[in-house]
Amino acid sequence: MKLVFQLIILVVFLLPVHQSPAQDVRFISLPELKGILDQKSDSVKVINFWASWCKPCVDEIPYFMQLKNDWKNRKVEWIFVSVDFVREHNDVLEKVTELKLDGELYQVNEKGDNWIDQVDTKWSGAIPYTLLIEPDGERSAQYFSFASYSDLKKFIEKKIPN
Amino acid sequence: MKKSIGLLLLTSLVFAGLLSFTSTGYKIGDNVSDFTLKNVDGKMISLSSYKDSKGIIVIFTCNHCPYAKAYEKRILDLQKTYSSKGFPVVAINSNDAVKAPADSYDKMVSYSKEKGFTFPYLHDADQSVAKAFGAMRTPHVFLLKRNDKSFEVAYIGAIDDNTEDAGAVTKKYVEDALMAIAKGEKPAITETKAIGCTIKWKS
Repeated sequence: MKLVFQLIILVVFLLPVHQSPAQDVRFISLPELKGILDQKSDSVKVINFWASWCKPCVDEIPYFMQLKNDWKNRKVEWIFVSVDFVREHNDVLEKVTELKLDGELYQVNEKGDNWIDQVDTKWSGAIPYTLLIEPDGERSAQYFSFASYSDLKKFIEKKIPN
Repeated sequence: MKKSIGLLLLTSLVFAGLLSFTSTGYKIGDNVSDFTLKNVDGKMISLSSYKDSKGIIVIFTCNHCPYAKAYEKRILDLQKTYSSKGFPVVAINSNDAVKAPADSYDKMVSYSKEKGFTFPYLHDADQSVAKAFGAMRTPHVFLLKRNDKSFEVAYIGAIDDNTEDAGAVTKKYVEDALMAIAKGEKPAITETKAIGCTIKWKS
């Protein structure tokens, strides 16, 4: 009887753990970001740079989420990097929850603006900015938002490995 | 023979088209055409009205962009330090109010009051001044220096190298350029990449 009681207590305490945790947004430095971009992968990497305050960014995220879901079995890695200021981390977390943003989530933590040029010399830091990296390392970029789900799909699908 | 000439022509046209897209606007050393824009106090202000200035710190900025907002205090400081030395700040908002309602003229008027702007905050309603300069972002600085009766461009780009943390700035691009010009020298750095939100162009 005591054992059953103890088991019940254990289960009650463990229950909250079974709820899916809110998506974690990890701070990254430039070297870590570069590591992610350069890491060898047999998938195509989609890296979307966004911010919680950026309306065009927020408007296009549902296209990414829909495509991520439609392409569950395709070789695509979905990475989202927030460029919100470090002190606005809570705004990022709120937005992630609101948008149900899912994937590898990061927020830049770097001193100064130089990291932008290091990611892409043609990029001025204006968002949204989406970088596509193929398994062989070849890069392509879109320096403005995607107008529709099909625009996003078109941009990525020719690069996906079979 | 005809086919290859045609192809060459087409290629040159496309190339020229691309070049013009990326290189419209003033370059270092270019003379700046006069412009007249409405200030938040209702008065019209022309570049040519600055008859005694040694230069002008022209800054394309706006109300809503977090990168621009992060620089507001630093822009106020530039005006405080350098206006009396002959280099006043002139702020210009070129955003389309349809795409960015927070940047309408009325919002500029109230924002300027709220933030205590001590410099002109001009409304570039038809975006012609932004296009003439080649401004692309907010903030985007064009430091002008006196050239006889007008001004020429001496520096283009960012204010400094750290948007987020004013205390961690290592390079003060605009100030360094300004101090060089004040001494009659050419700035060591004349161009940097402007970091910020895109200017909201009319459809």
